[in-house]
Amino acid sequence: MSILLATTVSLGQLCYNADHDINSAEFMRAASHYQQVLAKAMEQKKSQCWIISSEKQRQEATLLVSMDATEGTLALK
Amino acid sequence: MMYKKTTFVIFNRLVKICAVIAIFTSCASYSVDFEALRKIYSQASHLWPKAEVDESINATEIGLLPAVTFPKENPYQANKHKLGEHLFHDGKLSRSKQIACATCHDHDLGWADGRKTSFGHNRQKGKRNAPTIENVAFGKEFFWDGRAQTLEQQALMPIQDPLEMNFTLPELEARLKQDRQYLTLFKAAYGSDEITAKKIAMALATYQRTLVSRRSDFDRFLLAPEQKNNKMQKIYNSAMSDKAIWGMHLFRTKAGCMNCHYGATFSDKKFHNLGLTYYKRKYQDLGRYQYTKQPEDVGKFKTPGLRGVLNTKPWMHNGFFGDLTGLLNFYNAGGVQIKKNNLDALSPKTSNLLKPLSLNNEEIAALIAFLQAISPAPAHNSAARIQ
Repeated sequence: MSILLATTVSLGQLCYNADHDINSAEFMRAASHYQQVLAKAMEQKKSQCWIISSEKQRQEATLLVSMDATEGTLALK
Repeated sequence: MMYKKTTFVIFNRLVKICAVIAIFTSCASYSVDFEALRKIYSQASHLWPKAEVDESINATEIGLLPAVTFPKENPYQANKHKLGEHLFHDGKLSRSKQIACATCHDHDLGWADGRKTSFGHNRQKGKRNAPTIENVAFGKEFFWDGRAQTLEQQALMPIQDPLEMNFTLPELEARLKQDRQYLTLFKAAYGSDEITAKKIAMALATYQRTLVSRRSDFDRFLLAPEQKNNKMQKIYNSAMSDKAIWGMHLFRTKAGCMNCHYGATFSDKKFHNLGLTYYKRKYQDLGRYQYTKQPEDVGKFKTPGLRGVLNTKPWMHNGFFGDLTGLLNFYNAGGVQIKKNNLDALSPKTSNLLKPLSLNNEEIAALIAFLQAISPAPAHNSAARIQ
């Protein structure tokens, strides 16, 4: 259990920062797993983070962050 | 306790006052006199309100497309046009025989390809979004970074690009010489069946110059006063909805779109940095700098024309923007303002023409209605009026 937890934590988090968002949504074109939660957070203008729990999710999160034009709306932590 | 209650009452009142202000502000956005706007914009364009642009900008009015003028060095000729059309749709122009010009400039996709970035030889991914070729007849420099000075020069570049058609001009000439149909087409176009790269380029450019946007709702609206009877005048005048006319007004005024998108094609044909360089990041694209090597050109891309813009999703040089509201939100925020790092010569600087606009959701929707009004179905083959 603790190994599993450690693995989850080690993949990090994808964080959305509403203060930097200009609603241009360019990164949403590449969103799949994070599409719904991101859309909701953007609509509510609510900053939050989501745990990255698989390699596939990490790849998607990395892509989303690299597409973010503002360089501050999305971040990997 | 008393103190807490008083604070609560004051807070509640403040909330109510704010709500009233918010409603008033929101209502104010709806208080557009559509009838007056229609009346104003039904007049000749020199009587329209002055376009709101930066003092450095000499914007020409948005309006009808002129007839196409062909260059003296490559005049229009029907058989050359026919040859150009054939070449444009022929995969033989690529090494694999699978990729034609029309692969990335597809009629059904607004003469673009609907992809974020195009793919080429061996499905290699390109770096930039394929722009539409509608209205290239009115263009000045070609490609997003303006590296081709003429359409003839441009036409041969993708053929030789290893990422695109990955061919060489001598090999192409040799391949076409083996094709009887081409010998006939070249003879009809040029009076001789000699096949050269220059003739290929001239034919391709001639064909592309005939791809002119169809008449849009905006054009019909402008042409209303010229209609001979009242019924036609009314039909033409109603081609644009109230919302679209409001959008046109915003386009010309508050939204400041005419800082870059002006004239008949809605483009200044210049290069600007919108803050999408992604400098020192995965998707870095230095834009015009890659061609000019001038540091001030880092991150600059050509202003695309806007006729048919709704047919050419996704937008921008990297095709990242698939949602028009999102794209307009980007402009509404003043683009991405990146401060130039003076210690780094190549550090990009966002154009001063981009400023926060304070457009509300209704105004953005009106702008989209206007963009719809300048987006007819993709241009027919040979839609041009030729002069």
